Amino acid sequence: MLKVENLRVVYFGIVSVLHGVSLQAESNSITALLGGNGSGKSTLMRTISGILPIFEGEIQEGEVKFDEVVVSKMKAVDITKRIRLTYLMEGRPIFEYLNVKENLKASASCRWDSEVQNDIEGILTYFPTLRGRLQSKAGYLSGGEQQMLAMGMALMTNPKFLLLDEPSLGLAPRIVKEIFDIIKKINEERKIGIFLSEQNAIVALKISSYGYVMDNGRVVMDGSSRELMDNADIQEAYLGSADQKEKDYKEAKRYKRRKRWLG
Amino acid sequence: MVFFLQALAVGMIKGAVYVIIALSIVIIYKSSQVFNFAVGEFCVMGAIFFFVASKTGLPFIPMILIFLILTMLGGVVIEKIVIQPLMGRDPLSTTLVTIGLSIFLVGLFQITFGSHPEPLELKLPDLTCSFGNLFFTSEQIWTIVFTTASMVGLLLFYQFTRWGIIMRATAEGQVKAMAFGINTSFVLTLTWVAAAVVSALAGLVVAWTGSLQYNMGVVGLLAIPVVLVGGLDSIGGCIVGGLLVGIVEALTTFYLESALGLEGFRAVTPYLCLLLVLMIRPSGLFGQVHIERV
Repeated sequence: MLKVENLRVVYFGIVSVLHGVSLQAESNSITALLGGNGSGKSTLMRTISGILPIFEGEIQEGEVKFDEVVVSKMKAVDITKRIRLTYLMEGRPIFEYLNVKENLKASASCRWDSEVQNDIEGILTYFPTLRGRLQSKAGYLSGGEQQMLAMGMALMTNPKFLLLDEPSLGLAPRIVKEIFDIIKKINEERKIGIFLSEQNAIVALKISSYGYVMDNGRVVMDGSSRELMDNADIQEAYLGSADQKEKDYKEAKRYKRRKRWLG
Repeated sequence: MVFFLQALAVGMIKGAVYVIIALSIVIIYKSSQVFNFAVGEFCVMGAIFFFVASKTGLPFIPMILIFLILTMLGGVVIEKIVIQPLMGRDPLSTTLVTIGLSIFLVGLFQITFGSHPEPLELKLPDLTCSFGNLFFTSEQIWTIVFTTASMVGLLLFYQFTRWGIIMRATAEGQVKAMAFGINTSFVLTLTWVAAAVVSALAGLVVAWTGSLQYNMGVVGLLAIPVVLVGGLDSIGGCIVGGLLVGIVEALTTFYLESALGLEGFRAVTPYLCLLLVLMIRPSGLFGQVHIERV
């Protein structure tokens, strides 16, 4: 189980981004993390995966534990290798100038063994569209294929737990559905725990069992995905309100006030 | 005709030295987008280590081993102290640091090695050969052998081995690579060690055909037009760029300088080539063309 306890993170020593975040994600299920731009989702993921120092970030308080092991002091490479927790960055972090096969091989670097070839085959069963494009440069794949490749690469690190940062970013709705079906399948078949951040709340809450909502560096709400889906505030803020009538500026301001009160 | 062929051959051999130096630049550029301005000093470092190893009086094979180990250690030490602290930053910062490193190393060599030129003895089998009126010294043949060997070795390494693929991946983004569990700091060390060994080879050739002196690192500057002509991230580009620059330089020496009385014009011609190539292909002849999806 992934446990984040009272995490406070600053960038460049002064820019405070997370103001005491606590949450937990079960090892075998899918947990969703919702929130708007700049709410601190990516920072939280960077902190958990240990690549925060590269972004000049620093943990001021609190810690991250995975199965009771404190990971917030570990290096990123060790977190991937020993804890087997892999972070898939947002925006399809593939190696553009390598071909698809080389991409998959490169991401298996932390555990290079004779199994790599078999694993590539195994992973291609989730992403059949990639099979025909093994020799083409990853930079020339379509957006959906690139996201699938990125997920395949994350699987090549042989993870027990995956952090997915906005897997739907910049993809067509049909592709988003396909990607999320694959995420669900991976979770069920490989027993990999998944913690995914999303702006597309509907798809995220549909496949997850529990969800957190972040705003302005804090967790402002949490509950089972069903509860969140039915929650009036969530519906208004992320799912589009039930009644479609236009709102005037006064009401929008009231909503802002209310949101701040929540935090 | 014989005169022309001899000029061509001299140019190619000169170019072969440039190719090795360019390879060293490309190795580092490929995996970290850093341009190593200290490449000339890496050459001198290798040559000095060889000089030290040859003074031990050991038989050939152990001496070569000592030379290689010293060179690798040199690469590791420089990388750990100078390059590693800047990991994940803008490659431009590291590039600028290499200029400082180059100045520092020149000073260090002068203090430790002294300012006197020393002959470098390399006991390799004599390969002197001649075709009709063309004549090649053993040194020249060996230069070609060294260049070809390092070329082919590197190409195979990058294309087929595990670490080659990982190095190319890291080149595209250290953060990305790190997130996929690639040990980027180790990759960086490996890169600089490989570059140190390749430049040592170049230094060996340069010092062997001339003499070993602390400031012979300026030869590294001659490789700058070579890599830019060939493309900063292309190993194949090195060989084309190197040979092109070498041949142009030799032909200038043999024809233009003597015929037109343009003394020293050969130093300019590589840059004229560079200008022409960059006007037509801004990323060099074989440089990676930036991927843009439409």
